Amino acid sequence: MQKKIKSFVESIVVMAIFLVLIQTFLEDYSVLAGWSWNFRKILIYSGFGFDLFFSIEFLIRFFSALLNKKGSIYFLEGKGWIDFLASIPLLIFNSGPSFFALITGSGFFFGMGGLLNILKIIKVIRIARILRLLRILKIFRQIKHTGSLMAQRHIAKITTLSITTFVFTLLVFSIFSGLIALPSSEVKFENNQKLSISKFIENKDNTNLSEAAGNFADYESDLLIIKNNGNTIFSRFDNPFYSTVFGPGDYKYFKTSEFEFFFDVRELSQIQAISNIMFFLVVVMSVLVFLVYYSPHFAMTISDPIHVMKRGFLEKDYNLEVEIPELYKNDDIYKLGSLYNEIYLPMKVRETDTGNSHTNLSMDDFEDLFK
Amino acid sequence: MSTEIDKAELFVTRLLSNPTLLTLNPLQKEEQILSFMEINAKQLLPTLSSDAFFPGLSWTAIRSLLVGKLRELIDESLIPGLQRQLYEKIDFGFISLLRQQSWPQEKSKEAVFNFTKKIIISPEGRNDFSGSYNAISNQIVHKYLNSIFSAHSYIHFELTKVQRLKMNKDEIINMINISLLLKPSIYVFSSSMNKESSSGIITQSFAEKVEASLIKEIPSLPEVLIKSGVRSNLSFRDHKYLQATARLTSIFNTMARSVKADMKVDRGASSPEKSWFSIARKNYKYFGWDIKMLDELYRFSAENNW
Repeated sequence: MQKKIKSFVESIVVMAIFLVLIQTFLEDYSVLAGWSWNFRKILIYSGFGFDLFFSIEFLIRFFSALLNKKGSIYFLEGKGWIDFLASIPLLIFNSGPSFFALITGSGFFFGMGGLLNILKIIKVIRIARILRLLRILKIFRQIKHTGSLMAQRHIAKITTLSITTFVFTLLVFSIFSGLIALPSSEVKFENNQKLSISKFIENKDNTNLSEAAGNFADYESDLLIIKNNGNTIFSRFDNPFYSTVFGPGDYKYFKTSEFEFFFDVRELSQIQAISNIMFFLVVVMSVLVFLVYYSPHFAMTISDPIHVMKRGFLEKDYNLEVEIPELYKNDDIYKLGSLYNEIYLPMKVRETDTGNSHTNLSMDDFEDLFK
Repeated sequence: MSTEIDKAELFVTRLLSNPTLLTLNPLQKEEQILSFMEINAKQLLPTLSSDAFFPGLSWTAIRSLLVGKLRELIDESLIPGLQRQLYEKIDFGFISLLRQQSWPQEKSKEAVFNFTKKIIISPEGRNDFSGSYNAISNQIVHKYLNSIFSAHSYIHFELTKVQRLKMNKDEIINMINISLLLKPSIYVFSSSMNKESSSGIITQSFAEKVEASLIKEIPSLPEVLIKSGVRSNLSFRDHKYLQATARLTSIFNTMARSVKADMKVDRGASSPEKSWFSIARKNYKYFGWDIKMLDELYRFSAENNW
């Protein structure tokens, strides 16, 4: 019964991993495709749900391992560190802030503009999101893509190494570029907007602010709203449109002593989304290549010959030779196979022929022999 | 006593019903179970000598009871199987090409069938006969003779020019099949085997004695056919003029005993018959086989992935 429950839970986890990968892709694709804010909200909520699920999964596994005094084994050898990095940091730095911002800020677009600005931590969120790519590696624990444990472990190791290197390089570069403020389209955009705002303030006609705002909006195509002392003097779209299309990360807010400016940054978000999708596809394709191409190659050139020799050593009636491909005949494993074919098997056949009893049957093969 | 026989039958039936034995011929099943009983005697004895089974009997007596029942059950499928092979798969028509034949085919078949039943009385005879039975059941001779006749190489030359068999391919196949049935005949005439070594090879003098007895036993068979069967137990290393059919009989009998039909081949492993011939080529001196024949048969098995 316990085994069935465990198997059921593992199936749920595998399903969750596949679903979260789809969700990860859709979160960026929805930005690129300009999906409505309502739909994107659902993706953010579901992202929070998945991060919470995986965080709980990690905590249960980790504490269970600790109880069995195998905490360090789980964390290091059992890839618990992947479970950790792909759950709790994301919950704390990514989906958690987004979720709570939505809960507190949703439906009050204008009034909550200031609060929503807390999402300047979007940069941190964006960096943390990279860790999601590690989730793909969780699949290796769940899916038995080959019959050989050695092959399974080897493929998992090499894939983990490659993907982790890629993800951490991205992570380090993102943090580094943020720390030393490397030139970026966001920084450039912000500087341009600040310059435009200061020109507007300098040149505005105080007798006709609406006209001045309108002229400024004609010049600045990304400008959405201008407010003067809390009153809206310009709005490019109507409120229902903003509610439907714009989420907290889709605009940038600037405030001076009398004015408030809202700029459309969806184009910037789309550029970022393209990068994210590209990284995501690189990771997914890498994993697929390892699984679909390298795993069978490893099985063919390493695990299979070993399996044939193992059976030959264990089973008295098993006398099949190791098939030695011409291309790989100088590989160590096939040199061993050659010795097995040339020396061991002929000797084994002669030994079997001496009339000594041999059978592949054992007492374990007969459960009800004495009933 | 009848209760003990019933218990023996029940026990042996359980052993025979093991799925591992499904693809084996009746004699191979018997060999596996005999080996199983021998290897696990210590574990089996306490329960088999208990009140539930055979109380008061020694292991020797129990074994004798079980082996007797095993052979009885095996013969129930073996003998009809043998009859089917003889009457349905082998044509004795080629005999008239070897000598003037006055016996009808049915009489020859009946004589061979009755003699074969004598072969399978002794354990050694049954063991050796297992290969012949398998070779005929799985039409191994047919398969390789097709390739031999297509290749027109060493073996074909040995059969047609050296042994001078003025027969077509099918007739030679039938000849080798009967030769296979006669190969274990040495065990009818001597249970002590009189062998040079444990590799199944006999002496020339013993072979001649067996031939003489067999000619009297089955007068409907020509001498050349009897010699082909009996002398397949000689070593080619010591008898360079050994008939080609005898050499082939020896090879096919041993191969058929080892290679299981419909064996699942693991990825990374050579096919069963190719593996067998490859190993046989390295052991040819030990078993007294013709290395050139083995080379050619290996090539056929490799080309066809048998």
